[in-house]
Amino acid sequence: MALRGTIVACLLLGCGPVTTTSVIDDADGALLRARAANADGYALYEATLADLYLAKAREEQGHARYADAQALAADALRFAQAAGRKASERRTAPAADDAAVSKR
Amino acid sequence: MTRSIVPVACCLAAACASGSALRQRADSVAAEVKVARDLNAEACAPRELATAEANLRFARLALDQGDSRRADAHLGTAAPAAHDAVARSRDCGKQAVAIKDKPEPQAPVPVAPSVTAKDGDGDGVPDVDDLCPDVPGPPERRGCPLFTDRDGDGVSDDIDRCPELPGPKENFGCPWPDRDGDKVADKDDRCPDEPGSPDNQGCPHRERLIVVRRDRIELKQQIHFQPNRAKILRDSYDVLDEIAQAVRDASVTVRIEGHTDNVGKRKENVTLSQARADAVKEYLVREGVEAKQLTAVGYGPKRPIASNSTRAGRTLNRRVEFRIEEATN
Repeated sequence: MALRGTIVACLLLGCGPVTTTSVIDDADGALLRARAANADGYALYEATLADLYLAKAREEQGHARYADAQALAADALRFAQAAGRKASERRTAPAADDAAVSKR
Repeated sequence: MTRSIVPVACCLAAACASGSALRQRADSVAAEVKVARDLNAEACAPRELATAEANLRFARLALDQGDSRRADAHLGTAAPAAHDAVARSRDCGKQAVAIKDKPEPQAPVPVAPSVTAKDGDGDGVPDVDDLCPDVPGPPERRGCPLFTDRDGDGVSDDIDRCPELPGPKENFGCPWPDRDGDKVADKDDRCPDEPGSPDNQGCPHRERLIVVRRDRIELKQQIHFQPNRAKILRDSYDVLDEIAQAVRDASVTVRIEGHTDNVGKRKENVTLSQARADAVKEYLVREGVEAKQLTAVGYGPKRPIASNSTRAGRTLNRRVEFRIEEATN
């Protein structure tokens, strides 16, 4: 019985790092995809936010503050997805938009 | 007891005061961020605005965690970023429209960015409305040209993978790669890692190692073997490659003759010369010469071309010769 309790406790404690790592990985992947779509040119605001939030999430994870890390990573994921979406939209938009971006 | 309580209480009080001051600082940064947003900083200073907003959030998080030092550090990043965002946005933010017949002239005039009607590219679209203020373009495209092509390679920037470097459209606007920088693109370069001339398909001109005569192939460099063995040394590969190419191109039948000096037993020398002639034949066949074009004969010391009484003469006698017998076609 004691052994079972210990296993359950270990599993519960282990969920925090695992889930956080998963969300951070998701955000990281989304940011990479956004960058591949030239988010730094077309959606710099969102890409910068995603970058900073992701770095902060990793920092919080390093301090074992998993709840905060997960929340920050979730925000990073949201910003990265927005950056990717905006970059894709602007890439396919008329030349006028592209030209505007290139001048920035 | 009292002695120990007093310093702890002092520390707690100082921490509270510090936390409160930091929160006030965070609020003032937040106000500046709001001003920047109102000035359209998301478009005019996106990096600065993002840095300010993110660090403001991180500072508040650190305050919630009771980490004043970290909160202070984040506010230290957020405040100048917010300031920069405001400063940069003032020049390019949404312009206020002046209303001529304002009913209450006595009311205080709101602080707003100045109105500019500048038209830098002279295309008739004022810079405030011009998405391409440095390049002329029609008003229906908001002041932008139909296509931009910065490198002038005929591939418009929206599909040009190298918008700054001219390149053919077959390579998506990028120049063809040229690893050795000899101006012959790798795709056309037979020696892509060795600079060469365009008239030699990007390969350097080399002095030929053989001369093809009517009845024989003359070698400028003798074929070398391991001593007393029939293993060809690597330094002879180039000359053999040239021979292979010449035999392939000329479509002739060639007799490969192995010769030795007279040192050692005659029978062994004949065997060695035959083995060496066979090794050369085998190499040439590997290089694409048809086996039926080649015969290999080992003569041993029977046909010297110099005196075997001197070292130099013996060196000359140890050789492989190539006799052209007939054309195969």
